[in-house]
Amino acid sequence: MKKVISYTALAILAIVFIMPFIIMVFGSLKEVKQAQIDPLFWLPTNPSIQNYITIFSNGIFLRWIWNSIVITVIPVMTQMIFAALLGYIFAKKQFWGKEAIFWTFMAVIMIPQQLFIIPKYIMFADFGWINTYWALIVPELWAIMGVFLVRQFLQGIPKDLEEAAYIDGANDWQIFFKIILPLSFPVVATVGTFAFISNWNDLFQPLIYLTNEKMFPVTVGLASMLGKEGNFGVEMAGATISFIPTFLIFIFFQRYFTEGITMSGIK
Amino acid sequence: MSISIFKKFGLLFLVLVLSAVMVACSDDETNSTDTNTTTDNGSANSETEESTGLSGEITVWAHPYTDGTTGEGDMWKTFAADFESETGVKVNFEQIPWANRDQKILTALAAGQGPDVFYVIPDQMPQYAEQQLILDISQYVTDEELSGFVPTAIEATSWKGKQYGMPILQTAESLVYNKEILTELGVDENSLPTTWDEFKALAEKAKAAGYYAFSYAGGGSLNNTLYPFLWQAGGNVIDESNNILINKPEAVKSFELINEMYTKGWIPQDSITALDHDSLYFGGKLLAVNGSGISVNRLLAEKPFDFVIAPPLKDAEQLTYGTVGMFVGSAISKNPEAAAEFMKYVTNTENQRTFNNITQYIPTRDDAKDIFDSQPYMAQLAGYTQYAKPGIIHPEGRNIMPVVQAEIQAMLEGKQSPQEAADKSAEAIDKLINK
Repeated sequence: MKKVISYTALAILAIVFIMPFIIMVFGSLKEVKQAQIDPLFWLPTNPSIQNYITIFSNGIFLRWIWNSIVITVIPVMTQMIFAALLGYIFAKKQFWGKEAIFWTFMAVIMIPQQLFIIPKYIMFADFGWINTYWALIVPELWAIMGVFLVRQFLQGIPKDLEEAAYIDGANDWQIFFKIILPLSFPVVATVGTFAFISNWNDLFQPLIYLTNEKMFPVTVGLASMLGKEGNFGVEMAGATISFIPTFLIFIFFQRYFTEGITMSGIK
Repeated sequence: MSISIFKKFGLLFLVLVLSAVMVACSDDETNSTDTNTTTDNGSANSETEESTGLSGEITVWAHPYTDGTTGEGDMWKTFAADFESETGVKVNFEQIPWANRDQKILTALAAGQGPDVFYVIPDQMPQYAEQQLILDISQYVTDEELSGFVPTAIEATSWKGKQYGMPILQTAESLVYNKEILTELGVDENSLPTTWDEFKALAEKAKAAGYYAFSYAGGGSLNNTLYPFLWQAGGNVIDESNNILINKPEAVKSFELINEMYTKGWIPQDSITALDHDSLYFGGKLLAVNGSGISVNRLLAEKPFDFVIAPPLKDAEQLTYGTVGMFVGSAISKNPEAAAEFMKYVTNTENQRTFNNITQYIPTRDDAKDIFDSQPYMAQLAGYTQYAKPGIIHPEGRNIMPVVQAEIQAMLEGKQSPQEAADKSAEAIDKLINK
């Protein structure tokens, strides 16, 4: 009986969580008329790929995808590298002011990011970075949250492993690459997944720093295709296309992601 | 396994970095030739510069007014090219998404950057004017040049006696009835309600037949809910001198009407928080909505039912809501003369015809309204712009909405009377303007 209740509850929760996804995919196959009459009724009566054709017939859609890839993959890679390196240093190395430096970095994330927008805009304008990738890539090259996750994880690894390697004659780099990195891969993959989702889906920053439609990522490009009244079908088709890379990344890293979440103490 | 994945990603990373560097470095070239729309007529400019006294370049930001299938992009290219050949001023046109447009414009202006000309609506304009972010164009525009515009459009583009914007489009909302429901109710489409009392009688009839009479999207803008009734009752929210009028007896009548509509079931049950009632309306369960040109064109395209448009209702006055879209100049523009000239150029009769024909908004010049000669419904709506008030023209206009909305929602939930809702709204507005 207990099992029946828990499975029922889980099934209801699963439906609740999957429903927006179903509405998104089926909504993308709806004609304008049906989307207007009942946007939340999920079965399209005459499924059509017209909304996808509308998006792909925009001459520069592929350029938007490429822009999204560039401004996402580079920060994902660098954030993973910096998270692993700095996480290791902050977890295992002893140096003067270590805690103060770390918690100063952590304090920065407590300041609302909106406060930085105007100073950053002025700075980027001075650098000539408005309408370039630099404005979106450079500030995202590393993130203290990733460092925090790796540090938390590595603090749980016994010092004996490192000491044994030292006794065997390994230097710091060898220990990092041969012992620490393989061990911390799940949490580093988690950092990468979070970074991917956050950068790929970011609408606000590209919207502020970019005005040239050739530089738009998918999020801003799709928004720029929508008139004032919006178009439910096109919006849902755009959301579906935009969702695919995130989904693939999650599927690819799912095993590591789950491990990373568990081991880094995120609950 | 893990190390090999790192190696593969490392290679991918290197390729991406190199590609990004190449693309980012070459971006300056694309910017100069392909920034949405730019013009480059080269040597021909020098002659026109001499004749107009204008030179240099301006950047114009506007938004997607259509879904892009009706030639909007080509229209802007033509405008930019023609303006350059007429004046010698190069136009960099950039189309900015509607999303977060306030933040984008304000960030750029606060950083001393941004466009020379951009698009705003009336509730943004006074806010920008008070913060001295937009150009007072009174010195660049003569009374004669303004005389061809609809008076309500000029009213919506000026603040404290100064002209800040040049209006390019207008909307006028009016009651759009489902003809099939009218027929079922035995109501003649030529004798539709013109007053509140007549409308109430029809609403009662619709309710008895199992329909909702009207849409009330209580979670949306007050421009489409409270304000039209408030103005019709002879009331207002606040004036330029900060006198709060929302709890005056005439204004309270509009709160009472909304409360009556809800308690008697004339508007849908989710009206307290609904963002729209499109599905009920398009599904044939709702008698009438306050519709604009966009709703009418949607009805014509989708043909869910036959419809008829009636004039705005009248209580003390016959008024409705209709926005005005305008171009304003940046106060920090390095080329204000050219910015003002472009604003005049893009809102002249011929360009208004082109713009509004493509976007299906209503021109703000009477002599451009002939674009609707063969579109009777749009022509009918265009005739109502004289009744259309563009929201609350006040720097706090946008901030007032959520506080009043909360009081109306509490009223509809039965927690307070219409008078209390109006009084609490007045108190909240007072706090806002005296903070």
